[in-house]
This record gives sequence, structure tokens and C-alpha cells, in this order.
Amino acid sequence: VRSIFEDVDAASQPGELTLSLSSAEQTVAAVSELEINRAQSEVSGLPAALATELWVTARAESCSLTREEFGAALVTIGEKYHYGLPPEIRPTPAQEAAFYRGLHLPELALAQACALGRDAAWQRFFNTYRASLTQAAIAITGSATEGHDLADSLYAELFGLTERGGRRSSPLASYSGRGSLVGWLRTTVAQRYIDHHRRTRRETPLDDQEGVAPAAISAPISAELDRLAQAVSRSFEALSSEGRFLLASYFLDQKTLSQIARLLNVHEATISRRLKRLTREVRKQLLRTLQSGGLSRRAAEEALGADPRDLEVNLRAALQTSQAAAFFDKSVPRTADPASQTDPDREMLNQARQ
Amino acid sequence: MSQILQPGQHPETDELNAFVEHSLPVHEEKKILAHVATCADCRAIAYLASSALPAESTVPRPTATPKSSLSRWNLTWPAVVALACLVIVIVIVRHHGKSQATFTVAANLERAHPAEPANARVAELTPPKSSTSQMQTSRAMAALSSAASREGASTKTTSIDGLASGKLQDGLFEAKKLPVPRTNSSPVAGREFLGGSSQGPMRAAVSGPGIQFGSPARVAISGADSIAVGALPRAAGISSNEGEVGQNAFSPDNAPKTTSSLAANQQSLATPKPASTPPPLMHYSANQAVTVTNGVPTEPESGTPSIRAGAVSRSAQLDKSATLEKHSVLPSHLPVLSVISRDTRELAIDTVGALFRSEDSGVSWQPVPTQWKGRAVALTVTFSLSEAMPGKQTSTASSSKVAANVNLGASAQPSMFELTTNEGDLWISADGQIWKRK
Repeated sequence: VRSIFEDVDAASQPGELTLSLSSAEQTVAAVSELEINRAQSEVSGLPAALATELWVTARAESCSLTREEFGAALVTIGEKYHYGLPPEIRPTPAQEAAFYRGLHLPELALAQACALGRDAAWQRFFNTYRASLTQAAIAITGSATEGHDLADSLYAELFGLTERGGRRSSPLASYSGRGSLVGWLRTTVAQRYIDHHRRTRRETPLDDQEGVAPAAISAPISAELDRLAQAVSRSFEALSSEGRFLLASYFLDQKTLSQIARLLNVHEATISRRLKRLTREVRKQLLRTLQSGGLSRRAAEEALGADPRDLEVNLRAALQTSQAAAFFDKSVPRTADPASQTDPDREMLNQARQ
Repeated sequence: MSQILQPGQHPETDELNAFVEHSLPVHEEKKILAHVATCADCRAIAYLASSALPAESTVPRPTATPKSSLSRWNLTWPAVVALACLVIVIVIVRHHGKSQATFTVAANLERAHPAEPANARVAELTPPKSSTSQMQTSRAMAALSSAASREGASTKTTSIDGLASGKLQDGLFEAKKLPVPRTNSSPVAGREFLGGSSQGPMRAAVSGPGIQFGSPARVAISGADSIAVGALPRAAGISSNEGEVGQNAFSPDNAPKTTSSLAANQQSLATPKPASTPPPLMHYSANQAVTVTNGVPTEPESGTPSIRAGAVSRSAQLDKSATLEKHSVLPSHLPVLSVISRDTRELAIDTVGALFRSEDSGVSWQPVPTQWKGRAVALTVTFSLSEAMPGKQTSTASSSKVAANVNLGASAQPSMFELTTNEGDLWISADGQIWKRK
């Protein structure tokens, strides 16, 4: 009995249990073992089983991509896009796993491996996507020469010839796998092409640019026309995002129903109906706005019959925050001069008047 | 991201690509659409990337939906059309049946057993102003009384042939040729309306119980040369196949709103039968007005539920181009103007007003000496109501326009033949041979 009391720390207060040194050492060892096991059960923040499953599914090994590297890329993407869920929703492990499984895993592994500079991945990427990338560039530029040049420059960029902070940087690292890799390449080509177009336009001397007519001091605008212009601007401000997109695509960008339908993944007839409905709604909204401004209905109707050329309405500004003309619209930037109003604007106004 | 587009303000290439490929979640797609709607550059990138999509991947997914819905419609439309056709056919058949019933209405009144209480009210068959049916017959058919006699001795027939033939007026509609139904006449209740036209015989058969009153009596309307049958209101509920007039339709409750055209100006009286005999078949011509009272005979005043049926214009009555074959065998060889029967005894007037009498259901006729002034134009049979004695007219109901006051109850007794002259005088007779002025 005495030997037992000798093991008890004398400084301890009554009621406190003081373990012997040998027992404490055993407990610490057990905890560290649990942590090790837990660390081994997760791969870069992913459950080991899931990480292995995804890694195998992505055939990442053939791209010389380790499980940890691939897992880390997946976790980064998942956290960046919040696993495809709205910000207010906290994802469950099942939702996270579903998000991972919904990615284009083989293409994501290939892109990550290429971004890391793995030769095997580059060889595979070159064999798989070079032809399609060149074709997409030619299709976008409309020229074989320009297309080849654009594709070659993009290859160099993708390969990571540019360095940031002494490290090779490849745009492929930003590929998230939510879309196809070839689609991502097409979008990148389109973006580079527009960048190139902007750059070359900026390099063009101002004299050679399509003349920007000075804001002509036109005759004093009547109050009714001013009111109508304000009503038009207000009506467009009240449009929904889709309505704005449709009107801008159809009237400003001069896109066809087929192109709009393809982008919105609906049928052409649906776009046609929506456009008709939109123009009707815009007209009604115009009438309401004019009537709320003190005009009678008849006067509002007459105001809608005004010649669009008499109006100082920048529809592009009303429809989009980007004041730059659409890429497909080669016209000059909009001015306040009614004479500079382009045909799409007039067409839109005519539609609204009808 | 683009080197020119400011990062943070525009979606990344990866997001735009996902937007173009419609692989974004809804909330992100809305966000990208909202940006693309107002950003010409991003819109241009999206359209360029979209235009470079291979053909097989550019097929919008929802396009499958219209196709599938179209295919569903392709399957659905025939079924809808078939259903619509079926409904139309049913409506047409029912409508045709009702209209046919208007032609073939036979007021087949089941005479009540004498022990039963009398509850038949008035069913006044008068020409409605809105009646729009017209039926042309040109050839008289076999005598209905013969048909009745073929049915057996138990069936008694009283026939009153119509006055005239030809087209009827007064808003009558052009009649269609009646089909010739192969109706098996019931030995008791099956009756046939026989008519004819220049195009051929027409037959409207009536079988079944016919008009059901509270106290059934049986009346068959025998068409003369021309019978105008007004369009019965739908409330009459006359079925076409059996020529039945629903009991409810002719019940006192519904009677005021029911109108059928059977006869016009003249009135006939159904001959009551003794209780031991089967209900007689009373034939009315198209120009006869039949009034049947149901209930207390002293209440046939205005407001009494009635059935107005039939209309024959005077012009139609004057058209005497055809008469029933049966009565063309009158000794005068003239068309029959009016005919009435009681048991096997029949009286007939030809178009010149000569009266003939038959004791063998119209097989042989003997002329009756003229005992009245003027020209006989109508024959009717009156019923005495309670202790009516032969030769003694006691019917108070007949004081009104109701000429044929059929007391279908136990107290209904056959009474007198009545003859109306063109001067409006009324003559009565118990046997049809000896007439007295009323």
C-alpha cells in the first residue's frame, strides 16, 4: 500500500489523479498513432478512398501525376467553386464527392500534369489536342495563317514559357475540369483572338480609325423627345439579364437566332418568341413610363412614333455596362450624336415602336 | 484570364467555357449570363467559342424535348381526334334519334286498368307555333286498323285519318325521308305509323309502351298523307327507337313545357275500353288534336298541364293529293277527311262530307244518311266520366276546347261519337248511325 502512495505526486491536491510517468508516455504514443492513421486516411484533404478512386478514374498515373498532386488540385478546385453549390449552402462530404466525380477527371489530370511540365502529359496533350486547337483557331480567325499563328502562340503560352516569379506558369493550371478541355482551349483561343484584335486596334493610328464624328450640336431637342429618350433608357434598365442578353445579342451584336439559341441551349423558335415578347414588353414599358410622365396614351403613342434618328439614346450604354462596341460591331464607339446611331440601334427602336 | 480584360471583373476562361458548354450550376449560370448580357467582350468570346464547337456538340439539349413532345403529340393527336369524332357521332346519333322520334311520335297511351285510379292529366296536342317539322307522304299505307286486327282481337284500334296531304306550312321544316325501321310491333303495344310519299312509302314505327301517363292509355298516331310533327322539346324525352315518350316528359310536371306536333285543328277522342279488354290503340291523324286529361275531369282549364303537338296548316289540309289507302276504299272513292273508330266500329268522312260507317274495322263501309245541316268535317269520340250512359253526354271536361277528354281511370266509359259540321254544329251518336244534335 505504501509503495502506491509513493507514486503519487505530493504537489497534487486531494481529489486529483496523477498518473505515473510510464502511463503518460503510453497515452501520448497512442494519440500520435491515431493522428498518423488519420493523416494516412486522407490524401491532400480528400478521403483516401475517394482520392484513390478519382486518381484511378482520371488515369492520372499515365500522366505522371501522383495521387497527392491530383488530390491537391481537386481540393483547390472544389474550394474555389464551392463544390458547385451556392455560397449559403455548406457542402456535405457526399456533395463534395459528387462534385469531384462530375468533373472531367482525365482531362483535368492531363491539364494539371501539363501545367507541372510532365513530358508524358505534354506528349499526350500534343497528340490529342493540337489538331483540334488549330482548327478552332482557324475557325475563329477565319484565316488559316492567322489561325496557325494564333495556335502556335497559344501553345507556347500553354507550355509555360512565360515565368512569373521565377516559376513557369501555364494557363492550363486554371482549367477546372467543369467543362471539356477542348472547349476550354477554344474559349482561350477566342479570348486571345479578341485580345489580339483589341491590341491591334489600339496600335492603329487614330487617323486611320473610323472617324469619330464630333458631337454635333443639333437643334434643341424637344421636351417630348427628351422624355422619350429617358423612357427608353428606363425601360431597358428594367429588363432582366436574359432580356438584356437577347436584345444585345440580336440587335447590337447582330447574332442570328440560331447562334443565340445555341449559346442559350434552347430552340430557335424559343428565342424568336422571347424576342417578340421582349419587344412587346419594352413597348408597354415605354408607354407606361411615358404615361407616368404625364403624357396621355395617345400622346405616348405618338411619341413612340418619333423617328429614332431624332433620339439621343445610347442603347448600347443602356443595355450593357461595357461601353466598348461589341467585337462583331466594327462601328465606332457610340457618341451622343444621333447621326452616329448605328443600324442595330435604329432597328431596336423600330421594334420597340412597333 | 485575358490579358486585357481586367481580372475580377470578367469571368475566367474556364467559367466562360463552362457557360458555353452549359455545365455550370444554375446560380453560376445566371451570374455569368448577367455579366455576359452587359459585357460585349465576354459575349463575343462566348459566341466565338460557341461557333467553334463541333457540330455534334452544338445540338442544344432542349431540342430533344420539343422532339419528344412532338412525338408525344403525334401519339396524342390521333387519340384526341378519335375521341372528338366519337363524341360528334354520339351527338349526331342522339340528335337524329330525337328528331326521328318527332316524326314517329305515337302517343301510345296505356290505358289503365279500370281498378286503377285515374291520374292522367291533360295532354293537349295542339300545333305549336314554333313547330318546324314537316313530313311529306304521298301514298297511303295499309290500314292501321288492319294491322291492329292482325295483332289480335285484344287490340282495338281507333283511327282517325288526317285530312290532307302535301307540304305543310306554318313554319314546318322540310321533312327528311324517314328510314324504314324494321320494328317488331309488340302484340300489345307495338304500333306503326304508316305514311307514304311520292318517292315511296315511309314508315315510322312505334313500338313499346309509348307515352306513359300515370294511368296508361295507348294512342298510336297514324299519319295521314301529310303529317306535321313539331320539334319536340328535348324535355319531352322521346326516344327514337321505340317511339317512346318518357313518362316524366309527359308527366304533369313537365307537360306545360312539352310540345309536340301531332295534329292541328281537329280533335279526336280515344275510345275507352272496358277493363277486361286490352288497351285500345287509338290512331290519330296528323291533323288531329288529341287532348288527354289526367286526373279530375273537371279541371281541364287553362293551366292544366298539357302537351301540344302537331300542326297542320289549312293549306296542308286542303292538299288532298294522297290519303291512306285504307280509306280510299270508301264507297265514294274519295279521300278520307276524318276517321274515328271504337272497337271494330269505324266512322269516316270523305272530303265531300259524306259519312260512312264500318262494323268490321274498315273492311266494308256503309253510307250513313245525312241527318245534319251542312257538311260533316270532323269526327270525334267523347268519353263520359263517371256514370255516363250511352247516349247521354255528361262530360264536363268536354266543355272546354278539350275535345277528347280521356278519363283514364276506372270510371272512364266510352261515350258518344261526335260529328262536327262546317257550320260548327255538333251532332252526337251512340252507334254512328243515328245522330242527334247536341
